[in-house]
Amino acid sequence: MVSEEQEEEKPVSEPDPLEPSQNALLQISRWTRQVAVIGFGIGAFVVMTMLFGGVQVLTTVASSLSLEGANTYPVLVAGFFILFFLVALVLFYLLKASQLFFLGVQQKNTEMISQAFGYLKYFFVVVLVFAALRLTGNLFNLL
Amino acid sequence: MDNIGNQDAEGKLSPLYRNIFSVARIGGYAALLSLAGSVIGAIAGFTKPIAAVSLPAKEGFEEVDVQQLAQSSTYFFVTLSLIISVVTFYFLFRFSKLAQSALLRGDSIKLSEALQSLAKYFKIWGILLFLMMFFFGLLLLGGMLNGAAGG
Repeated sequence: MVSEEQEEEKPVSEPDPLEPSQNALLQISRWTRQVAVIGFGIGAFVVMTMLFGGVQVLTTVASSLSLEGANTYPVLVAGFFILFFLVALVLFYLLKASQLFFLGVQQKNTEMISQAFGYLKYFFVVVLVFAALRLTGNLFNLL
Repeated sequence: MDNIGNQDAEGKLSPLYRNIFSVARIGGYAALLSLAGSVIGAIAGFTKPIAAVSLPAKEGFEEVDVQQLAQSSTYFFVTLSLIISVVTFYFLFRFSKLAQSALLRGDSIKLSEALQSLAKYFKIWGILLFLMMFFFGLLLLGGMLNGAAGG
């Protein structure tokens, strides 16, 4: 017999360790890998473009912003590098999550799947920050 | 009160389900903020005309035509961005709601549905990025051909 105290301590009933979700996890793994790989490809394209015509692009953007008394060019260069490394970090998290999802499902290892969701959490934190920045920018643009 | 109840229940979840729960919660906030940003961006795009830049008249087009073309393309991209935002919001928010409720109720079928929604969210981004890369490639090819032709 199970006493009332034991009954209370029982954790919230959990689904069977992701057994019906294996297909969905493999799909997530496949598409996160695709997003990461294409993202890195586009990143490489941007690096090539910036190597050949980056100075011209950034000078044009800096002159179009034309904030009085402010030297916008170095700020733009720093901003570009920060944005570039943030995006690279996000893509790295996605790639790690993809690998761990795949291995976790293959080896039926819930620890790996848990780690994969951990990486996905970091990814969504960065997405949240970008979304907040975009919302703020659009609000300023509207007002 | 309900929130406190949810936090208690969340604390009893295993590390795996706690991680899924966190992803679902943060993903839900990200979906809402993204949609809000897109809607406000769309309002700004439709209500504020683009700054009148001196675009050169080209290939028989008047300067006014070029300006109108720029305005139309702005409307097109704003609409496209809004459609993409609504579709991605739907899948990410659906994942967020379904996963949180499935984990708190211990419903594995609902959790599977939630993860399918997350897979579709990434699938949309995968296809969009593929199209973007394709157009970048075309642009690069066009530039190279133009350079080779001496234009």
